[in-house]
Formats: sequence, C-alpha cells, structure tokens
Amino acid sequence: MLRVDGLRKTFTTDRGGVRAVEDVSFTVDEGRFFTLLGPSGCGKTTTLRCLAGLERPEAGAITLDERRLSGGGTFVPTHARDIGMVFQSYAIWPHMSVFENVAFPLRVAEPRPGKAEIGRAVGEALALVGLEGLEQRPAPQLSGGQQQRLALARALVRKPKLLLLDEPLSNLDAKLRQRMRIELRELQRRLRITTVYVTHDQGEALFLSHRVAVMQNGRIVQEGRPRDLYASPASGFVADFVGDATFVPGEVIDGGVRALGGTVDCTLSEALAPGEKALLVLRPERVVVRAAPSGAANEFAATLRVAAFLGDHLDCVVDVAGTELRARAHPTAELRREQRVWVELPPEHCLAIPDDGWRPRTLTRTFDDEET
Amino acid sequence: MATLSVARRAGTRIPALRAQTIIVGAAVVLLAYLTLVPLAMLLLGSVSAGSSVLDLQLTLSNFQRVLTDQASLELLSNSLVYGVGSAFLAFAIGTAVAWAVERSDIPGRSLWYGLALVPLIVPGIVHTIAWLFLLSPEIGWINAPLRAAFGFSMSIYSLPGMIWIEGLHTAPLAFVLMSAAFRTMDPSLEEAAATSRADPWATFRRVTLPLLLPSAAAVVLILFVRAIEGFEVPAIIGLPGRIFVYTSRIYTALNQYPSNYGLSAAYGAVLLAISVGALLLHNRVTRRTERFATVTGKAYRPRRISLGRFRVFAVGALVLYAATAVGLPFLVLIYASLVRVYTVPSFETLGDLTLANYGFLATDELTRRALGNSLKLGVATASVVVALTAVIAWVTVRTRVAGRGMLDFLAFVPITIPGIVLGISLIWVSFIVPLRIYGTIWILLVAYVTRYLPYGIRSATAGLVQIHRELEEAASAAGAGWWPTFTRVLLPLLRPALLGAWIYVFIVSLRELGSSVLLASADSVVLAVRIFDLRDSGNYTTIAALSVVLVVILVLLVAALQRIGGRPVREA
Amino acid sequence: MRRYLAAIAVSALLIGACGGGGGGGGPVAATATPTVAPTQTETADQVMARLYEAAKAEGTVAFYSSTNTDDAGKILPVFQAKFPSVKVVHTRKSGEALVQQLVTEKKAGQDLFDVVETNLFEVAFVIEQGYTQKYVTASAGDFPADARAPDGSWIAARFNNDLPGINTTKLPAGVTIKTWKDLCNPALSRKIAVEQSDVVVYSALRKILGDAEAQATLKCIAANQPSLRSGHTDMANLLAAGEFAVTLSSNGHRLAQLKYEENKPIDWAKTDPIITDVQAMALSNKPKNPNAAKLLLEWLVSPDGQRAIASTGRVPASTKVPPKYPDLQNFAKIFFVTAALRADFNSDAEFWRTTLGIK
Repeated sequence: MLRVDGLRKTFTTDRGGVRAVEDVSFTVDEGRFFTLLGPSGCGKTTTLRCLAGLERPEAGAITLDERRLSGGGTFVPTHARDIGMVFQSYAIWPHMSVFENVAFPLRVAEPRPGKAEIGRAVGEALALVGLEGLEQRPAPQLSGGQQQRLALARALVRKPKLLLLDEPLSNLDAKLRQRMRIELRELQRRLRITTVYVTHDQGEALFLSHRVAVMQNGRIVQEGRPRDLYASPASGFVADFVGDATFVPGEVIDGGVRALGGTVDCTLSEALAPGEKALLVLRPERVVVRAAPSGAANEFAATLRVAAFLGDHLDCVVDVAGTELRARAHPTAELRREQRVWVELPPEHCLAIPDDGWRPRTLTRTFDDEET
Repeated sequence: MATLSVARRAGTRIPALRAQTIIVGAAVVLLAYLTLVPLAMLLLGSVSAGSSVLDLQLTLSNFQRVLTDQASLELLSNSLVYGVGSAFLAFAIGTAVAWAVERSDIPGRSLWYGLALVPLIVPGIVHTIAWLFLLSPEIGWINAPLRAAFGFSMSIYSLPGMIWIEGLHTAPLAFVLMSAAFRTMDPSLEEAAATSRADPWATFRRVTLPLLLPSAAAVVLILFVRAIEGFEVPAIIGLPGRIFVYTSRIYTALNQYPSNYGLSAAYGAVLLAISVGALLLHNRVTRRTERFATVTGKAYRPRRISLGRFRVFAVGALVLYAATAVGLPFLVLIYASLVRVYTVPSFETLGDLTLANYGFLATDELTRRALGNSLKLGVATASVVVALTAVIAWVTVRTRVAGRGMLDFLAFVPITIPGIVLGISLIWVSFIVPLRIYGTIWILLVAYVTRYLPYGIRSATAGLVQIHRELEEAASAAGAGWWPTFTRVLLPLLRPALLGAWIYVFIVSLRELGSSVLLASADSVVLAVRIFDLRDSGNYTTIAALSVVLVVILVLLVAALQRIGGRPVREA
Repeated sequence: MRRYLAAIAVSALLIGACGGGGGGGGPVAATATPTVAPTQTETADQVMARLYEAAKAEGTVAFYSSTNTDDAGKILPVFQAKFPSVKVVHTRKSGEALVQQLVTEKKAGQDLFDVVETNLFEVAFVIEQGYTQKYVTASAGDFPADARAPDGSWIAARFNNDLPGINTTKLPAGVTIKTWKDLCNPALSRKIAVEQSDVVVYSALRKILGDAEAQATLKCIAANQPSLRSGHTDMANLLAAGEFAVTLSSNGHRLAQLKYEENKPIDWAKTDPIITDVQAMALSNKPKNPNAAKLLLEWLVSPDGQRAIASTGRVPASTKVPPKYPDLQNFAKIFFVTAALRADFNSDAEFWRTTLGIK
C-alpha cells in the first residue's frame, strides 16, 4: 500500500515560472491502478518524481508498505526504492541491446543473480510484453511501440512493489495507443502490481484506473472512481477535464436552476442553496435534439446552428435563448441549418454545481508543452 | 489542343530547369576549381623533381625522403604527440567547464558561458605570443617568480609547452561541443538507471559514460585535426625549441633556399592524409552518435547535480581557468605593449611605460594596409561563403538535380585541408595556372573561401533542413517564382543561420595565418601575417600593441554583430 | 540545342571572368617604359633629380629588405621627405623568408619587387636565378671593393657585423667570451641562442678556422643545446631581455643600440677576425617602377642615404660616412663575406642543419 501525506515541492523553472505541488495526499491500495490526471503544469509529474525519489519533497511523507521513503528526516535515494518506472521518452539506453536493457536492473542488484537466473527473468519480462525473440536487437532499432514495451519490461523485471508510469502512451500514434492501453490494463490486472500512472488524457485515465485523482495548480481537486468523477464532478474544472461538457451559468431557485430562458429541472449539488449562482454541466451525449417536440420534461425550443454526421449520431450545436449548447441527434434525423428544433435535457443527467467563477477556455488546449 | 497544353507546360518548366542546371553547373565548376585543383596540384607538386611543374620530371624522391628520413619518424611522432596531447588537454578542460555549466548548480552560469567563449575570438598567434611572455624560460611572468622562489622554471619551448598553449586555445571549442552533447542527452536515461536501482556510480559508469563516449570521441578527433593543422604554435614555439611538426616542417622546407617546393608539397600530402584519416574516423563515430540521437534528438531540461560543499572549489577552479585563459594573457600583452624593449616587469620598467608602440602602429603603412586588407577579406570571404553555400545548400537539400551530392561533397572537402597545405597547394596552382593572382589579395580570398566553405555549408544546410518545404511551396502557390521565393521567403527565414555563419567566417578570416603566411605579399599583407613578420623582426612590444588592438576590435565587432542579431558564435 | 548553347555561354562567361580578373598585373610590368641610361658625367644628385622626375608617375617602389621595421622606420622617412611623390613600400622578412617569397612570386609570374636588399648569400642566389639586372650607381666609387660587384649586379649599402652577443648579467661567473670556441663552455648549456639561418657564419668559420676546427666548434656549440631563433633582431632583443646569456652571432649595430640607447646589460665578443656580412642590394629584372627603384638604390648609397643608415647605428658601407658607434668600426681584422663563399652552400647548409638539429 502506498500512502502519500501532505506532499509539498516548489521550484522555479528555467523560464522563471514557479511550479508547485501543495498538500497532496492520497492512498493507493495494494494491487490497484491509481492515476494522476491533469493539464500541463498541474504538478502530476512532479508528484510522481517525488514518489520515485527523483525530486526531494520539502514536506510531507511517502510510505510504501510501512517503509518510510520520504519525510520525517528520511529520504531514500531512488536506487534504494523498490520501484519500477517507465518514462515518457521511454529512456531506452541506445548503447545496449534489448536483452541488456532489461537485464540492467538485475545486473546492478545486490546480490547479483546468476547468469541463468538473469536470462530466465529477462525472458519472462519480455514475454510479458510480447517482445520475445528480439533479445539481441540493438535497442535504437525498435519501433516506438516496441520501445514502450521494452521500457515496461525493464520496469517490471525485478517485480517491484510499485510501478510508476509517466505518460507512457503519449508518444504513440492514436491506433497504437488504443491497443497499448488495453494491453497495459490487462497486464496490471493480471500482475496485480500497485501502479501510479500520470496522464493528461482523460480517456486513458478512465479506461485504466481503479481510482483517479484530478490535479489543478499543484493540488488534488477531486479523487474517486472514474464513474463518480464523470457523474458527480465537484467543479467545472473537473467536469471539463473528465468527459465532454457544455457549461451554462444560472441561479438556483426552488425546484431547479433559472437558465436558458426558463427553469431547468436538474440534480443539485449538495452545496447549493436557493438564490446562489450555479453552473449547469450538460453532457452533449445526453442532450437530445429532435425536429418535433416529444413532450418530455426539460424540453426547450431552439434553433439548429450546426449538424454534422458522425456515423452513429449527428453532432449538433443548438441555440437555446441565445446560449449555444452542444447536443446529439439520431443519425437518421433530417435536419437543416437554422431550422427550429427541440432539445431535451434529461434531469438525471443534468447537474448543477456551485459557480466558482471558473469558465472553460475557448481554445482547444494543447499538451505539446507538457512538463518533462 | 492537347499538344498545345503539353507544349505550354513544357515551356514554363524548361527555363526553371535550365536556371537550376546552370546554377548547379557553375557551382560545380567553381567548387571543383576551389577544392580539387589545389589538391591535384599539391599531389603533382609532391612528385615533381624541379621547383616547377612545367618541366615535368616525375620523381618519388620527395616521398622517399619524407617516409624514410631518420628525422621523419620523429616528425611523425612529434606531430601525433602534439595533436593527441593538445586534443586531450583541450577536451579535459572544455568538458570540465561544460559539465560545471550544463550539469551542476554552479552560480553565474551565463557569465561562465561567455567567459569560456572569449578565447575563441582571440587569434591563435596572439594567444601564442601572450604565452611566450608568460612562460619563456628566463623572462616569463610565471617563470621569473617561480625561479626566485623554487629555483626551477618551466620551458615553453618543449612539447608539453606546445601542448599547453594549443590545448588552452582550443579548449573553448571542446567546451561548445561538449555543452551541446550534455544538453542533448536525455536526463531520463540516467533517471531510468536510478529507478532500475543502479547507484550513482553505476549509473555514471554504465549509462552516462557509454552514452557520451561517441560524442567525446568525435570531439577529440576534431580537436586533433585542429591541432595538427595549426601553424602558430609550431612556428613560434616549436621552431626555437627545435620541435618540428608537419606544419612547421612544410614552412622550413620552403624557407630554406633554394626553397624545396616539392618536399614541402610531399610533407603537405602526408599531413593531408593524416587529417583525412582522422576526419573519416570522425564521420564514422558521428554516424554512431546520430544513430543514438534518433532515440531522443531534442534539447532537454538538464538534471543539475548539486555541488554542495564543492561549490566553492568549483567556482575557484573556474576563476582560475578564466584567469589563465583570458586574464593573464591579456594582461601580459597590455604590459608588453607599453614598454620599449621587452623586460620582466620591475618598478623601474613600470615607471618607464610608453605609448610609443601604439604610435608606431598608427603611422606604420603596412599595419594600416594589413588592417584594411584583413577587414576587406573578412567581409568578402564571409559574404562569398555565405552566398555560395546558401545556394549550394538549397540545391542539395531541396532539389533532385543530378550531381547535388557531388556539390555537398566538394564544399565539405576543404575541411580536411590544413591552412598551410592549402597555401603550398595554391603556390603550386600559381606556378601552373597563369592567373597571376599570387601575391594579390585575390589569392587570399580564394584561399579563405576554400578554407571556410565547409563551415558555411554546414550552417546553411542545418538551417535549411529546419525550414519546412511547405513554406516555400506556399510562396509558389501564392504565385512567386523561384527567385522571389528564394530571396523573400527563404533568405529571411535562414537569416539567423546565415548571419551566424557570416560572423564566424568573418572572425576566422581575420585571424587566418596558415595559408596567408605563404600567400601574402606587401600589397596583400593581413593582420596575422603582419604580426608574424613583426615577430621575425623582433618587435615583440609592437606585436603586443597590435594584438591588444586586434583583440579589442574583434571583441567589439562580435558584440556589435551579435547585437544586430545572430546566433552565438559556434565553432564548427 | 538551347541547352547546349547555354552551356557554351556559361563556359565563355567563366573564361571571360578568369581572363578579365587575371589580366591586370603581368604584361604591364613586362613592357615597362625604358629609362634614360645614366651618363658618366652626371653627379649622384643629378641622377637622382632626373630619376625622381620620371619616378613621380610611378608613385611607389616595392622594397624587399630584411632591415628591421624599427630601423627602416628611421631611414625611409628621410627618403620620403626628400622625394615625397615616391612612396616606399617595405616588405620586411628575414633573408630566407624574403627570398622564398620573391622566388615564389617570380615563379607564379608576378613581378612584385623592385629592389631586394638582404644578405649577400641570398641576393647572390636571386641574381643566379636571373631575377635581377645590373645597375651601376653614381655613388659606387665611394664603396670598398668588398661592398659591390664591379659589374653593378649588386651593391651593399650597409654591413652587418656578426658578433657573439652577451648579456652581462646572465653570463655565468667566470665565463669569458673571446672567440667562438668559448661558446662551447658547458656553463653555457641551454643559455645560448643561434639564428637558424646563419649558415653564412659557419661558411665563414670554415675559411677562418679551417674545416675541421669549424666543424668541431659548431658541434660543441650544438652540444650546449642552443635555442633556435628566427630573426636576428628578435634574438638580440630576447638576449637583452635575459632569455639567454649569449648568442652565436648577433648584428653588431643592434647590440650597440641595446647597449647605448636602451641601457641594456649588453656586450659582445671582439672575435679575431670580425665576420662582416655584406647586405647586398639588387634591381629587379622587371621592375614595375624602374625609375623609383633606381632612385631608391641611388639614394641609399648616396652620402645622404648612408648618413640616414648610420643614424640608426647600422654600419654604412660607404667609406665616406663613419658609423655612429666607433666600436663597430675600429676592428683589428675584418672577414668580409663574399659571394664566392657560397660555393659550398649546399654542403655547409646540410652540415649546419644536421648539427643543430634543424630537420
């Protein structure tokens, strides 16, 4: 079991900015897959590097299976921690063969295993990731996906207590990423190795994890099971980061929220009381567009602005009383631009959270400058 | 109708094709003249019996003498010891400073970076003469107190002395190259070793060292080539100390009379062979590094190692280095420039300082002429090299014209030709090709352009590869022809790379000695040759004054040019 | 067809460019205007006046001389003051380097020098190559036979006394230098310097001491591991600065300058005899500036020019002008270097180089 308590780390970057991890605490149970999710610069990688001992935290404690790794005057150096780590760049040593890369952690072990033992362990690790037969290949000749597997084999070969993964899939192309995340999930579930995973990709986080912690500005803003994060985001930031959402500001009244030129019947977050400002979180995949009214609850007249065919549905933008919402329609629906339509907001999928002033950024976020 | 459209399409295409063909053809002819003709003449000269190729009598006696002479073994061993020694000294200093600046948490990083680069700007001959003042056995600044205190002195007129001076002078080059190596090394490669539970020593031994080895080998080879082709130290330190290497032997073979042109050409050919061998080896090693680099490639935020208690020592060592490489030499030059006849400083001499040497410089016709010629040549060489290589690089990178590989090769060949070998080659060219440019500023321009083509081509090619082809295609799509595309889209985008190359070529042209010393006359005298001749005339104090002026001019020029905009000076 | 024509056009352009660029220098020099032959009746001043008129159009004269820059800086301005329209461009290198440059230029088809002035050995070599012409100066009569060729192929404006130089503060106690053999004293090990091109000293020693003795002397000097220098002035200055205690052969006038004008602890050995190197001058066979060249020659050997040379401390060759430092004149016995001494140059040079380790 991994326990992190009140972790703090501050440093200035080369460009003069300040990055910080503030009061980060979480627990990962034996054999669970835990993900730190957040945008560039949120502190997730720094947290992971503290776990690895590559950064020295200023405060807080890290304990792995009752062994204190950091805090309270102790700091166990990286090489003395029982961990395995996969880096974003894979960090495959180009001067070694595939076999040598995987054998390295065993060769520096004390006591050093025998030759036969090393050969067996390496073979096992390579088989685990599907790289059998490539032992003698020079490492730089591997493809990106193969290098990623090699890095994983290297991290696993000593059967560490804790596996740390720093955006291991981000350098792969989309198709390969899909496949690798399935393999990674299967592997972790099979080996039942305690894993901490860092990513900015909510899809990966939701797919892979038992639990996810969303980080913002160096703090964990919400932690929970993937479905809880999706269904009950604590803030606009989390709602925006986990899943797709349109946000509509409004005011809490009895029986709903005043917005969209009427009253929206919705699930209110516990913290909300009538008279307060609220933010409606509308998941586009739950907002239904029809050419004619269906008489359902929470139905609003709207004007269709965009309707694009995406195979299993039509992706729409509709204008409800001056507010643009993203929504979906049945793929066979015959809709024309600027046509009058009706949108249904099912109350059970319509969540109101306290409005803390946060608004989504208008431009698509890019993660090219993700911290390394 | 169909035929018409075909014809029209052909009609619009042919001129473009022909323009390319003409440019490529002209460039091939020009480059072949600049690089292959001198080499051919060198080889022809080395097997000529007489001192003229016109009465062609082929002989192997020159090579026989070069290869079997008792002294030639010593020459070879001296050259190798000198080259290897200087290379390793420069490498050790440069790597240590680069490590401190790039990988440790030493304070004042950018200050050290700048200071470490200053010696690059100081001409070799100035650096060498400064050390002559510092370490002459009897009158050197360092030796005089050493003898007074301990009763011994170090002689600069020895192989270790030569290695010290050359190594100290090329250390900045090692610094620049190793800094780059440190910067492009992915720190997670080392972190991965730590997470694989390797302790710091095992990490260094099994990951850091093997990864740096190819770049280090490449750097050492470059430094070796630079050292064995250098002329300043062998001429000024080696000759009085009777320690001959190939460059000084080429010079003395010419300067005995009757001049032995054939023998010096033969020595030149041997030196060329060594230099080519080292560079071939370098290219093999570099290909290896590049294969390594495909894993990573970009520059990383380095992992800095905390020096802790050793910080004070590290700063102290850097201060000592800066004082040795920059401070002391400049100080001794300033002092020497202020006395009439060089003497070890004492209260007496300090009370008797004079500006007479600067006065002499101001009125000396040849010095004025040398300054003018050097500036003219610097501007002309830099401009010709940059213009020529921009076109060549465009052809080799962007087009599929036949013979473009040849162009790239031809432009790179001169990197293997030591300056003095190019000098003797061009003398042989002058004996045969009736251009009548020997002794004029034109032959120096030819020599300089030839020597510095490789730096230009490397810079232009690297710059061009980074510019996406689509930027040009967008210009074409917008209706711009080849010439407007080249001048209005490509050149502005290439500006930083080209300006960097321009500044670099300008500086190295201003201090070139190896080929100039054989090619300059009174009309075409240049600064480095003027200093060399003044030394021959015993005017050390005047040389010191000229050196001070030259260094000040160069530092100001570099500062000004960099301000205008350009990359920091990078040695190739 | 059009491509073919274009190729021809390019070649033509290239050839045109080469021809245009290279055509400047040579032919002009080859067809230089002939000058008026000197007549017996003219005085030196008249000759110079006549030459100056013709030289004004030429404007410059290329003077290849191993006179060091300091002294040239005193002598040439006197000429300049008298003949302001003729600018002297002084190429200064030590003898061998100077001759190497001159010969290379000639071989490369360039006629860049007008007057060459350096040691007789080197000048004799240049004359042998046919790169000079005879010219009898109007003042030739003032010069001793040792200082000129009767046919006018060369004339010396100055003498160089080749004297062992001594730094009196660096000379080990108890060592005295009276003759060359004294330089073999082991106390002078690593304290002696030799100018590496001084073959002439060895050639002279062979005549003075006999072959065996000369060889033995050079060998035992070599055993003292001399520092090999390039340039006599350089070596003398370093001697004065204290870099070594003695030199095999320094120029008397430089030693005297350092002793009397710079107050350096310098002295020299008064060997018996004194080797005196003749600094010969010759006129180019194809001077670019023939009148200016002759004017410079005439002036340098005229009493006026000789006085300018004497003012630097150098020893003028003319019998009419005494040197500045009398101790450079009143030597008991003088051995003048002659062109004939060059007869065994190749074997002398070979012995010199191998003995001193100039490989």
